[in-house]
Amino acid sequence: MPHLYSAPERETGRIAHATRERFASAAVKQACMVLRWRNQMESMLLPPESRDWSELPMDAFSVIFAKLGAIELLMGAGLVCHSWLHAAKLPHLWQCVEMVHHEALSLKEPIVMSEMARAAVDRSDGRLEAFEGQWSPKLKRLCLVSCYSVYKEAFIEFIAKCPLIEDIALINCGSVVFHALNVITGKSFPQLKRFELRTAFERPCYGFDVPLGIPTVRHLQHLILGGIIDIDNEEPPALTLILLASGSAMSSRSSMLRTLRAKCAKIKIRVAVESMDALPVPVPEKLSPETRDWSELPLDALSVVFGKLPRHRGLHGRRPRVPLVAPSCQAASPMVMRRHVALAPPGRVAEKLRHGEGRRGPLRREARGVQGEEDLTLYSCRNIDGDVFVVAGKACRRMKRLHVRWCGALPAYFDGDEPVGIATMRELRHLTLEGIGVSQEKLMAIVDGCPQLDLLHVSGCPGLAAVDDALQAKCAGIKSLTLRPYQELESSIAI
Amino acid sequence: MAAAAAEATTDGGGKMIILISADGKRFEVTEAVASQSQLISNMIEDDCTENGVRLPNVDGDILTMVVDYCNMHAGDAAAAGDTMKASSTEEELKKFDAELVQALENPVLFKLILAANFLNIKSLLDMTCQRVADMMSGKTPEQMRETFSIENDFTPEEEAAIRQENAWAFDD
Repeated sequence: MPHLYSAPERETGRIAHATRERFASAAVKQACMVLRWRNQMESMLLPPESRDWSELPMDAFSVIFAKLGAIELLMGAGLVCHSWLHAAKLPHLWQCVEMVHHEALSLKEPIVMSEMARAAVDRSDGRLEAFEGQWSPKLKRLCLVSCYSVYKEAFIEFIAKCPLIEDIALINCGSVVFHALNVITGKSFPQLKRFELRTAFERPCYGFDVPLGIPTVRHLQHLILGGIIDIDNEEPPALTLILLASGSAMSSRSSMLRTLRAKCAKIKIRVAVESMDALPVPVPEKLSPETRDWSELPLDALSVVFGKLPRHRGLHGRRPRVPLVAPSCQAASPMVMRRHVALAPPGRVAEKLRHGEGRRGPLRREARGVQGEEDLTLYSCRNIDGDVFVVAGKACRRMKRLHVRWCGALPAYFDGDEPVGIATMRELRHLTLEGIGVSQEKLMAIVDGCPQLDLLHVSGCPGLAAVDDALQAKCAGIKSLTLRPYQELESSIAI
Repeated sequence: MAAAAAEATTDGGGKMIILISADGKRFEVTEAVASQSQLISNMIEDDCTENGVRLPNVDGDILTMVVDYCNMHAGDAAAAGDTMKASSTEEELKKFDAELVQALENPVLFKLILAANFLNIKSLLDMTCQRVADMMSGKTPEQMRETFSIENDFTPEEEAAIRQENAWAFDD
């Protein structure tokens, strides 16, 4: 019925009125519109450049991609060109990830699927609200990092579908972290071996039930809790309990520790103090006789050994039952001592250490022939005491770079003269001290003793409450200088 | 009847709005029709539609289609009083939309999306984007580039990195 849509009518924009007047039936009306749209399509000859699909506005992209779903985005649309790739990474597209109903998945190996799932979760950038995957009944490892919107109901429902799960890690996932602690029981998750819960917001799980389920998980070997304050006793056998403090919130730790101590009289609990992004250092509770030797290794032997160990081996036994750090041991946790090699990320180091294979024999053997180490980095070494400086000063006269951070749960740990041992390293060029009990006098002595110092970073050191002019003057020749006086905020706890 | 209801509004002195396309074509529509566009609805609220609404991003042919679409969908708001009727109308409309969208072809589709996005007409944007999503579905990146005539603007190095990062999309 082309006569209905003559040009003048179209141009006055009254077509729709005309249509409505002449056709009462919606069906006819609609048919006309389809016809008209088809005509339009045929009549419109758009120049080719006008349809550059890579230049759609982001809003439109996000609507289109939201309709496509995770699999399609990962498999195709997100890989077409720059702008599509960019659009496919918009976090809100990944709030709800559904990876179930897609034929492409049937061809994929589980490991590939989990790669895709990981990518999907990564892209959600902390906004993941729902995740649906079809391999959940066989899921063995679930790791959610910064998924603040994971609801406890969703998590509980999901986890209940994964009876074979062996490893659960929930890191910075809002309150679900606390709820998770309560849903885990040996009955529902007989295979669970590792359970890691961490939250950046330190708060006690008051108001939550005591996690009675945990002790019933018989295979549990690693229980890692960061920022979780309250937990009950009766750990299953072979359990490694690791409590992480993240430096800023250690004071909230003391009450927890007291409670733990009281409740778990028979186990020894260690607190691993974490520097910014270091991984936890597994700390075993129970001493078995054959491993006691570790605690007897003299510190200087250890420090030498660590310098000799290629690629950060050592320090932690293969099995949780082979503890490295005995309660009486004043030796290192992660300790890196290398020559001329830039420090790997602390996380990597700790990871290596954890998988390392320190054994007594080789350690002892290598504990001879020292000199010449030029780099020493000590991060988060809970169990190192001030002697390390004296020893290192003697052993490594030619030390060039020394970095010590948060060494020990107590920043005021070294209240003797040990740090002055640093002053014997005449060739020291770089020195970083964070959270070490070093006073202004000692610092001046160190600066005096190390004439070649061209980098000095000091922060968070109790005892250095203020930086006065004398110290500033002494440090005048140092190229890179940071002297940050100690602030109460950084105070620590007495364990 | 939806149409009758809409008509009544018009007859009852419902305000008319004039839309002016990029190429100067004028369209006179009721406020109810026009305000399906969030953009125009906001303008109506701000009282700045007196001298017609100029839409420099939308050309006449596309605006014809958009106005058509809005006319069609203005009915459901008017008929909302009667639930039964509304739901059946809604269903009908959905069916109709689905049919319509199948007819959409590449260049027009692209322009319609731009217009719907610019005018902020959610349902039209939704519908057109669904069509694009359907066109993308199940295709490899290469096939998609073909379908949408997109140039692969990745450098060989970037391409290699993407292949490595997204190995799942290329492994078979």
